[in-house]
Amino acid sequence: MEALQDFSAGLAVFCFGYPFVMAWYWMAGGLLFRLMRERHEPLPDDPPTLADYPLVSILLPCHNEEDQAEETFAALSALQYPNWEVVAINDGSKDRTAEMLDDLARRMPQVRVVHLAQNQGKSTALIVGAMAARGEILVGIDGDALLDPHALTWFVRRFLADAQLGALTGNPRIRNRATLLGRLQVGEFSSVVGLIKRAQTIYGTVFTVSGVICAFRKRALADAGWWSPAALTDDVEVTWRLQLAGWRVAFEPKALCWILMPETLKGLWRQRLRWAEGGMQSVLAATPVMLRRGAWRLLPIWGNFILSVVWAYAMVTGLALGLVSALFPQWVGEPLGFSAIPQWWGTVLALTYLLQSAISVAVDARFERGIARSLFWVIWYPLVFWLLQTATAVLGLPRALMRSNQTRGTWISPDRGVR
Amino acid sequence: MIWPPLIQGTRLSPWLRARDIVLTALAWVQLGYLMRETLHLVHDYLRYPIFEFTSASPPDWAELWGRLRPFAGFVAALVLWLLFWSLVRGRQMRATAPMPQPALLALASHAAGFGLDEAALAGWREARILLVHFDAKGRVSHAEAMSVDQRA
Repeated sequence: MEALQDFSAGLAVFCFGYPFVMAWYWMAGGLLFRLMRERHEPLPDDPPTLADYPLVSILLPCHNEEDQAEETFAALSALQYPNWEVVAINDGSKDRTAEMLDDLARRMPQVRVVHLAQNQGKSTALIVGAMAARGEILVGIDGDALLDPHALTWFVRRFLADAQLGALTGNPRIRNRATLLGRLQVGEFSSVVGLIKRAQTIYGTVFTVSGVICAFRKRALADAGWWSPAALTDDVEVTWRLQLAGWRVAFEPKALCWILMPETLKGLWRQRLRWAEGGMQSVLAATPVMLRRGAWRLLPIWGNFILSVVWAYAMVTGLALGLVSALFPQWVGEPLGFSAIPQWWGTVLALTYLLQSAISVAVDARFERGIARSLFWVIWYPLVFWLLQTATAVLGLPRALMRSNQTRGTWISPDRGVR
Repeated sequence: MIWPPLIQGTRLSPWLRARDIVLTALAWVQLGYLMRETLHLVHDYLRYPIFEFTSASPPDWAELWGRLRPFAGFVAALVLWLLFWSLVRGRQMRATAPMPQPALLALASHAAGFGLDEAALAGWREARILLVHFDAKGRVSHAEAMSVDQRA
């Protein structure tokens, strides 16, 4: 029983310590990035003139996008970059997407369309789109994402200034804010995604680009072996491949893209479970390559990912022990585990997260006016939302382990929020 | 198009909006309840006579620091690690001037990677509309280039 007490105490220390330490790390990384890179930079809607404007090919994989296509292309037609084309890849859509894309190609000279005769999945759509693309710089967006008019300029500027960059991840901003879930994710994308990407850019390796807004050098993708058709999360997979091939990946916060996120619990659950499973699948695939090639610079992000999964399991174990301890105190003697209702340690964690949110809002204020309002809604993250993240991480591991390497990634019709 | 293209859900019922606001306010109240002792301390310290504890006893700073010190050590080590990398990568991160670029991916090399010849891939890139076929293993078998008018 003494060993169980020690185990329970160790579990509690880890369950508090890991997110507490990492929260301070992300905050420090976000502030350092702001200080070093962003402080003297122009605002996103005021990019400088570039020495060169190479052709940029925007890859737009579409699967049943008839409701979104007009809006997506309306945003593209407002791009403030002189040399671009869109390669829209229709991946076996069953609705009117094919006709709409052909019609757009007639109306917009920059639009080219690739129809895949059979549905192949997003990764294959991107591979085929890259083959058809004329530009060396490829920008990937989703069929329901609205690209900011200056995003291409910011991507190109960064590539021109750094020959070792193989890919850039842009700054996705959430459009739909009708419900609690939508508003909560606005704060989450700033305080979690934004700060993590800034910190990771400082030490030079990034866990993943955002598939909804990212840019690549074609040459780097060729070195990396392009996207994997079996990948559940093509963006995580390709980020690791690029870095394993020796290219760097970084965050460009001024390359904005306005995206739709789920606003139902079911939609959110499906999305986060896919992210967890896909992340695990990609890391499992990358691990032997990382060890064989001695790519030790990836070790920090690898270690952090493994720790985050161990943490999720530790939380479930601690909560289960706490429940057993509360229901059957005569079995365990001294209390074990912990409760889902925050006590002293939980409250410190919640306050740390709120501080992290406040810092992220300060850092992000230049990209979105009124972002401070999202602070009201972030309270749900430390109180409830982390449970969803923990549950998806716990389920993601066995699902990734059981998934066959031959299974192709498929399109999932997303919940696109409330209009 | 209005920019930024935010969707505020104007068709959403006012009751649902009110529910979300009330629930979120209650969540903040719950956090306040969990922190009631700390809030009482702060209130006591800031009311008249200001900067003195009158009804509450001051916190045991040594005990609090004792609880958090091991974690603060990890935080300090990681922040130093970040500072180190920010110095190493400082110039690279601040760079904005153009520099020589890596060689472009050659058309022949791109085509060969997918079992196509250079001329075929060049044809792909001329096409406004392309219909790509696959074999049973999901590999590209052939492609038909079309003009916009042909497709219509």
